[in-house]
Amino acid sequence: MSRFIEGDRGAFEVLFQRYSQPIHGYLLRMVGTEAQAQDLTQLTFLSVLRSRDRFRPGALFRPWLYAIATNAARDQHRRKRPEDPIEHAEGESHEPLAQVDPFQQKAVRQALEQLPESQRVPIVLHRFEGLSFAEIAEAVGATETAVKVRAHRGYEKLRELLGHLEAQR
Amino acid sequence: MTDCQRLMDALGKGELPADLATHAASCPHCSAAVAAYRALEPKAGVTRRAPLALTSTLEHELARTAGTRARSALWEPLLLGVIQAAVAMGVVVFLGNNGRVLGNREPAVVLVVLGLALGACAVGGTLAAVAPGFPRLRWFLFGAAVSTAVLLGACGSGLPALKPFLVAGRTCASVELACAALPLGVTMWLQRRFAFDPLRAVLGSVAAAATGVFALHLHCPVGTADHLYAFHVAPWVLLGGLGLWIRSRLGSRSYAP
Repeated sequence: MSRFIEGDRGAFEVLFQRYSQPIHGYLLRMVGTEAQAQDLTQLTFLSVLRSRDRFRPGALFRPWLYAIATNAARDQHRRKRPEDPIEHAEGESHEPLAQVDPFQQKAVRQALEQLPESQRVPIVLHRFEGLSFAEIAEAVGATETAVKVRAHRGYEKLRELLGHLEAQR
Repeated sequence: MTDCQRLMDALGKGELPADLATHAASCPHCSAAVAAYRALEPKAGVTRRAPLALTSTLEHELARTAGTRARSALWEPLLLGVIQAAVAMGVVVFLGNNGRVLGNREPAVVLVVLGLALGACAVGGTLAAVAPGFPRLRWFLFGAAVSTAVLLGACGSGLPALKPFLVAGRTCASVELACAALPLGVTMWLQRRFAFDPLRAVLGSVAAAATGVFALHLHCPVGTADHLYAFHVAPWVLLGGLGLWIRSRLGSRSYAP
């Protein structure tokens, strides 16, 4: 990142290659559709380009990048008009992985969507993106303790929601 | 650190240590959390795709920025600071034309305290609005701005207006709104470089109006609480709400914090 701040174009391309897929996966979980996730991934990296002056020297890049992606997803959700077409159309966004039960995929997605954003973001970053709670705290601008409490409550609620969905199966 | 917090740290780092496994077995909240964590298959719900490619927009932006060093993140707060100082000077020169820069009859110590409080709102609010960082300072600044607003109306000299209530107030409110127009517009423009944050928008608007509020307060001789709250404080609050409304309708050029 420091090389990119100095104006090294190649450094940005390395960052894009390394992080565009994880960010895309994260955004796909956050917004649910492939097209939106693609757009938001591009917006996330566009924000990196436009805001490189705001990256604190010595800070970790990954939490900063996920903070940008989270903000982009939040803004997209905020500006979404009520008349927008129904999202999460089956089969539109992604094919199921062979080794993952499609019902489980759907159940997890539905359960995550029912969580408030304050709990969903720490859980997705922790469980799926592998960020530590310190990194998540940095990304969401909260204390590490607060993030752990939110994640703990979120996991508890998820257990309940997944139980209901399993029972409906 | 509680066992529940330690357990959260241990999730994802292999098997739980014996003491935490015992805790999870006895704590219904933690056992539910552990079960949910294990139920979430990391690959569930998403398929890893082929590497993404740079779009033409990204390519264009990259070409524009390549080879140039990033400018300092402080230029935005500095720009706003200069504009606010210019507005304050302009107000002083304008009001000085009739020889009444200082018409307020409050004790000097009250004016100094109010000046410092409004100065803190202006400087702190500007930094919170258009400088990176300060996430945990924002609520403190909001509290400071609310306290300052209350103080502004409560510490009046009590001197009544010579003109009718609305006539005297209309001039004050107009001056305050006019003083805030330029800094508020620039603040909103600069805030497009950040993700939308309601608190940030309010603090930016409050900061943009703070110098005008102080200049007006120094000049205005009327010291009754109803005048001060209705025509000095209320327009300030209104500007905070207006800034929030405008910012919520503007897009963002960047989502960086």
